[in-house]
Amino acid sequence: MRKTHPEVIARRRVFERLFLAIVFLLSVTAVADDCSEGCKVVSRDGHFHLVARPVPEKPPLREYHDWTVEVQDVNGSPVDLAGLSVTGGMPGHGHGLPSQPKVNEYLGGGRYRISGFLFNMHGEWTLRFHLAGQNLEDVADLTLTLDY
Amino acid sequence: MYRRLASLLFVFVLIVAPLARAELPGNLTQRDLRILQSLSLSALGPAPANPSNRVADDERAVEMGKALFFDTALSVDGSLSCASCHEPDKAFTDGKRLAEGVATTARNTPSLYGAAYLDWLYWDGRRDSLWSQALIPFEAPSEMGASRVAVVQRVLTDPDYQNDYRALFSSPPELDWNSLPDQATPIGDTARQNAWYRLPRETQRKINRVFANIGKALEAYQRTLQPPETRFDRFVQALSEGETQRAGQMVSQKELLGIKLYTDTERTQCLQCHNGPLLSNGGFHNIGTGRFSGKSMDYGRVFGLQAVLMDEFNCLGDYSDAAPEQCDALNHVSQDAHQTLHGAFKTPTLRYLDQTGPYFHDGRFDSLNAVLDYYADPPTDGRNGIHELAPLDLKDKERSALEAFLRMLGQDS
Repeated sequence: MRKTHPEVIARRRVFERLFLAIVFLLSVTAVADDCSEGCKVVSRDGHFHLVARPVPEKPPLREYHDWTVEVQDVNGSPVDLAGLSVTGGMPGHGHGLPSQPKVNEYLGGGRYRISGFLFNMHGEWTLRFHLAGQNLEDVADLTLTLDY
Repeated sequence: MYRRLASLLFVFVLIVAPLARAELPGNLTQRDLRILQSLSLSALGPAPANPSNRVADDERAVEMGKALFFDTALSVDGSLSCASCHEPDKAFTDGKRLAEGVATTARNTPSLYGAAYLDWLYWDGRRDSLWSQALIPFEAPSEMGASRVAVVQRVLTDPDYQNDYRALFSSPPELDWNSLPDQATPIGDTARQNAWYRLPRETQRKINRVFANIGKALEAYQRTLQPPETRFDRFVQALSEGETQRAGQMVSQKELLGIKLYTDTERTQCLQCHNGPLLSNGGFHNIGTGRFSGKSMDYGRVFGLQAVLMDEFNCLGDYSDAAPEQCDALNHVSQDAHQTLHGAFKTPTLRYLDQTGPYFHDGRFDSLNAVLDYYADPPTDGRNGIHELAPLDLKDKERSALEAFLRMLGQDS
């Protein structure tokens, strides 16, 4: 059997790492959509991985609705948080959220149901999830864009 | 040869004909159409249920509420009713800069069309239901100037109201009218407030219960005030049905340009707040119109927020019919008093502007032209310079077109 040249192996590794880096970046960068497919976010200091999604697939305009948030640690294990809250707003308009979402149910397996989301304008909204683990605190930011 | 030509013609007809039929007037795109459909009354649906008022959709309450709405005997001098400011033939507004009750008030009268769809009432959202809103004008010294004791007495001693009340809310409480001061109210001057606070708590609660029920009947009537269809709605309906030619005949080129500008969120930002079938997102926005000093000081939402949280008639209060978990708006009200809430007011509807001027919370502008002037050059200095607006940068022709579109939303357009 022919041995692969070390240079080729090194090149492959570079490509593999590059590929993984792109996948990672794509997964952690705030997704510029309406999170219908679920927005994946890594918290600012890297302690938590989140998947946040609105409960009706597309966030409705001018209607209160829920989101679910799934929280994992860096090893992919579900996290039982000591606290979770949400703030946010529209930086482009200089105002905060028109409502105050609140966690209303722990669904198990690191999943939380948050009620009281309300978006009343189209455009770019930011959401900041404040996460308190048993020993760690961190925040995770995502941006979603609501369009017609 | 001819066969091939015939085949090509067939394919051409198959592909091009539907495209031609789907072509929208005035360079409107399919995205524009989706936006227009979202603004049309066909997207409105029935008014959302109000769990805090169990008679909100009861026909008997509608009838009682209508009688109350037009009853001048509920004001301090017998001259004013709800309809004095909310005139049916002016889209339930009054055509005045500031509402005039017993005295001149500090705010412009908003239309009642579509009010049943709003989470927050008043320009500053100090009430969270139509029924709790309806109670304030009875007692406000500059509006109807009466008191809750006088209003409750009038309703419970009138044979017609009495029958309506019994049918809707069970037997009214026993109250000794001879011993009750008829000007007792927690709102108004010291003498009136003292008269109220000297009453036993149990008596206050009995009066409050009936007072709240009067508001609930008024809400039932006001929920029936569905926004009337306009030429704009008929235009969108025709477009939605694929009747593009008919739709095109319903609008002028100028109006089409105005429509195109309204849906163009790069050129204009009206749609940001004036969205949905009521052309209002029901939220609070700062457009630099707060008044932070002087006699007509008005901070808008930042104080309205505190008021609704303290209101004994709110959705979470003793007089609400809702379970606490049903009070979505109040349970999730944003208490983040960020800077832009100072001087923020509720987005008014853009429907029926032909009937609802003067415009803005304090009626400061008499014409749509003056309103557009303001948006073109919003304030830049001081506290009024802190707002959400970007200047509306339109040529004269475009501005005139935008105004023409807004007039399409008029009741008599």
